[in-house]
Amino acid sequence: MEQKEQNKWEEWAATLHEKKEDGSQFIQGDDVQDKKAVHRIFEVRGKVNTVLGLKNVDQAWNSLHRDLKPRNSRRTYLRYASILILSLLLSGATYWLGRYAQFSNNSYATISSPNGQITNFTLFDGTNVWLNAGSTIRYAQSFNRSERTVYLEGEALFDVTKNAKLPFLVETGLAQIKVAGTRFNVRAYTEENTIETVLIEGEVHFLEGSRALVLSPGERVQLTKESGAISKARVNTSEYTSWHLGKHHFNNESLSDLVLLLERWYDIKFVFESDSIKAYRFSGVIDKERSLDYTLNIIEEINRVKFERKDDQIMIKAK
Amino acid sequence: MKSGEHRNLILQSVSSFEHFFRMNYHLACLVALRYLKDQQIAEDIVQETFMGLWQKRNELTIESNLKQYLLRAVRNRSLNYLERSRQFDQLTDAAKELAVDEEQSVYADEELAVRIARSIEMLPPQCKKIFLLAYQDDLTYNEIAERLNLSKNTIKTQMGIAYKILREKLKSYFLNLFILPFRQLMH
Repeated sequence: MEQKEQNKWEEWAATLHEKKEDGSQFIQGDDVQDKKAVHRIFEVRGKVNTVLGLKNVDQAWNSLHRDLKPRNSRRTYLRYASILILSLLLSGATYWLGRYAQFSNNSYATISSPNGQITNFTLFDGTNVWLNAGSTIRYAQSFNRSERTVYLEGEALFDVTKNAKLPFLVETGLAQIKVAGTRFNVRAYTEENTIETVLIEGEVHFLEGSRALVLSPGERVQLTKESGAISKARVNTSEYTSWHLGKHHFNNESLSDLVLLLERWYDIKFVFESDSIKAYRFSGVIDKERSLDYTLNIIEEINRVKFERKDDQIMIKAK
Repeated sequence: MKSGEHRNLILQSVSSFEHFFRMNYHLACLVALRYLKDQQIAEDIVQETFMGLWQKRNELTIESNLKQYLLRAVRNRSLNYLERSRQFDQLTDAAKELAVDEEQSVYADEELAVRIARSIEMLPPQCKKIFLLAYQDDLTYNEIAERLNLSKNTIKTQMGIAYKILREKLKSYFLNLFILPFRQLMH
């Protein structure tokens, strides 16, 4: 069987390259598709050879990258009304799709959670989504008709309705997460240097370029943007999903990561007095039901830092 | 939703832009080469187009597909180049006619070619060498056998393996291709 399988490819190759008689007239089923594919591969060889003669993509990127101006480092500080601070972080605050999603002229709908707010909604296919503060989801009008793709910037927890015919795809720009039906968390904030997915139930495929990883429940996959390194680890999933209940677990993470979360959750801007403080490590739980002042006090107690309010910013200093 | 508030996600960080660039650079070059003869000029135009996208990232509100937008821009720049260089020879006219036909451009062959090129890179070394001698240099099996000091049967086997692997790597692409734009295949 294996032998026969192999011969079919050899025969088609010889037909094209050696102008041999095609002896495989009586093909059917998958073979028809395979044969068409082989012919297509042969047919476009002119263009393939052009590609092989082009500059390779590393060189091309390097020369472009040199010309890109460094990005404006001042992050836009979105000022939403201060009433949003904390009070809207109640776990019961559920915002339904109809209120927030709008199809714009080109048939994409956008749902955003501004800083200071966690949003919960249900997509047309029944998939439930928790969208963390400072996150955006977009999807096309064809969603749940010919495809189920959402574009995510930020963090979201998905509870995907099963549909084997239309796999659910989360597109983060750098990596894609593909599932049939399952519960998982995706974290892909532009300003953070990793993209990660944690699987709670079911099965997901993590796709990046030509790489693909399959996750089992309880596993986390993490892609480091700069190096392209991908790692897989077994984790305590509740630490990665409790944010939707207003609790965020930190496990020996840097103060700069912690500050990014506080900025999103409390819609406030922090400034570091010196860069060295950013690397301080922090472990613990941030609870949204506590006030910002309470949270900052706790951090002050266990870290060698102090916070000073200055206008609408908070300055972080070394003690 | 305020316009401009939701800019294209790909244009919001260098790393996702890099990924987008890597995924589409060769395709964009092939699109430019539909209209231009010179490879160097085509590569320059593609480079400029990507640069333009990045520089205008804060003004652009591309609600549709960024890739389509890129390819359209590459096509327009290529045509502009032809106009500017005043080479109104046959090729230019042909290219312009081609462009008119393609308001809804689908670059099926180009897409496929880029994927094939990428997949060829992943073939086992010996297999790749043999395959390229046939596929790229148009050598016969006998010529390849002679050059590499291998039996003709080995060449035949390796060619079969190469096509099988390529087919496998391109499976998802072919699936879409055969089901969706069927007419694309017919011409």
